[in-house]
Amino acid sequence: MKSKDKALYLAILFFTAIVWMITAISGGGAGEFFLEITADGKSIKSVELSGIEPGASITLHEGGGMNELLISGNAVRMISSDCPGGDCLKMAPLVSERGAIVCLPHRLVIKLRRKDEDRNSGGIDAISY
Amino acid sequence: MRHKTSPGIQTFLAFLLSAVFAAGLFYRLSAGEGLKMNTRSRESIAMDTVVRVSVTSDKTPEELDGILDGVFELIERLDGKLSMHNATSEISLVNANAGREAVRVSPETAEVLRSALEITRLTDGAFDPTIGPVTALWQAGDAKKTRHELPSDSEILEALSLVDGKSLKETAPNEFYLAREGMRLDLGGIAKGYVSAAVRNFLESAGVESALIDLGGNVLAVGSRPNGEPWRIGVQHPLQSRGAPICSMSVENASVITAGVYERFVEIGGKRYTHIFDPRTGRPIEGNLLSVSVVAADPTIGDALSTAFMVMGENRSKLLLKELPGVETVFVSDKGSTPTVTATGGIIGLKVLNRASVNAERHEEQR
Repeated sequence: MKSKDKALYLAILFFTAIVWMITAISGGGAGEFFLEITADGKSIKSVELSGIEPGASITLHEGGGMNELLISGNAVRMISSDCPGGDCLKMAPLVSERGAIVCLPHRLVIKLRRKDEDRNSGGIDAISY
Repeated sequence: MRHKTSPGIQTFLAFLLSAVFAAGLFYRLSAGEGLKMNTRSRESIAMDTVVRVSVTSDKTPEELDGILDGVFELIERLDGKLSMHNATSEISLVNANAGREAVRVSPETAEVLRSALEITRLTDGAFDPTIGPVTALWQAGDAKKTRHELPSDSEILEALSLVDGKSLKETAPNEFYLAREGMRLDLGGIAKGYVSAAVRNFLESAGVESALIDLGGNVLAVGSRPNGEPWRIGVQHPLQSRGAPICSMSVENASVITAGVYERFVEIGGKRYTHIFDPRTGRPIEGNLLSVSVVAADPTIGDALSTAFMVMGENRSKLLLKELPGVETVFVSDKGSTPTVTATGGIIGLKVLNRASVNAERHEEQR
């Protein structure tokens, strides 16, 4: 085999390996979170957390009442609500796409989602509780 | 000078290009792109909980949206028949006519009641749809009616005297009668399972073969994931915040329904009491079981069994499981510093995830 043929073989193999790695890696990275707020089943607000200043709050007027969310870093929690019972205020802060803050009286569901969550990675699809 | 490639390298290049083309085609088909699969999800509040339904099919997004409209209409319609909190529901009508006369109900309500009676018989009363007077007495899970003191023994006995599954009769086809005034049906331990089964039937008749139905944590996996892999369903960690799984498993065409002491409770005098009651004592269950997840093809059965198994405890439940082929369970119990996960042998791909110990004899895989 000529030395130029060898060099061409190696170049083709190297190029193929690079393409393969790009294909394998693309879409495999962790997506950024965004905050999705639904009221009565309809999405009313979608906020990218990366664009929010830490300590910012979001006030919602839905379902005949008021709720206020606090965003601190990558965590979101309910800090104020005039709903009866105030169960939403006792819910754990959201830090991942798992779990939700729910205000049943105001029919609000607040969740964190990844931009690429529909890609269906090898994670958990749902949690039984 | 122009370099002339040898025949060997020409053959190699042709082979490589063919392989790359074949791999690309396989990748696209396996990812569903070749069939133009679409996924639509919708989340809303129904049946006093968060309902999320996700469907995948080769139908257009608009067609899938129409199917999801139908799903949520179906849920609302069935909830309107089965809820004891709705004064005009069929269940409320049966309750209101207890000790007076039989009430004709829809075929759907009749089907739920027949399933409930079957599970009552099967579990020797550990599940009982006539538990209503006891749940009403303790008012568990209802923040607006929190008790300030424990019910007295006489109150519990009085409520208990009205709990008797054998006194619920189907006097004629689709006509049900509660034998004594004051008796009260509570289908909280079975209705969501039935509704999720109805949603599955609706989706399958609409041509959807891959879907995930989540009725407030009652999960029903229809088919497999859009990419052909089994669905991965987690079980809530009983001591951690919502969304933190203690373990996960692979399922296809099956429901995973969990009953746990942590989910709903009533707080009396600073102490928490679970919302799961023993129909034979009229009191909240006790013991070291934190949760039971039932994996079954029929979510109606799975829902009722998960409650019954919490009442029966791990050992009695395992005896009954021997008579129930195709039904698998994951028990999470408090036996030390960390919860212990015990899964029956038919659970596929069990992974224990989060600060738990595992009964090593009863699972196939652990991290």
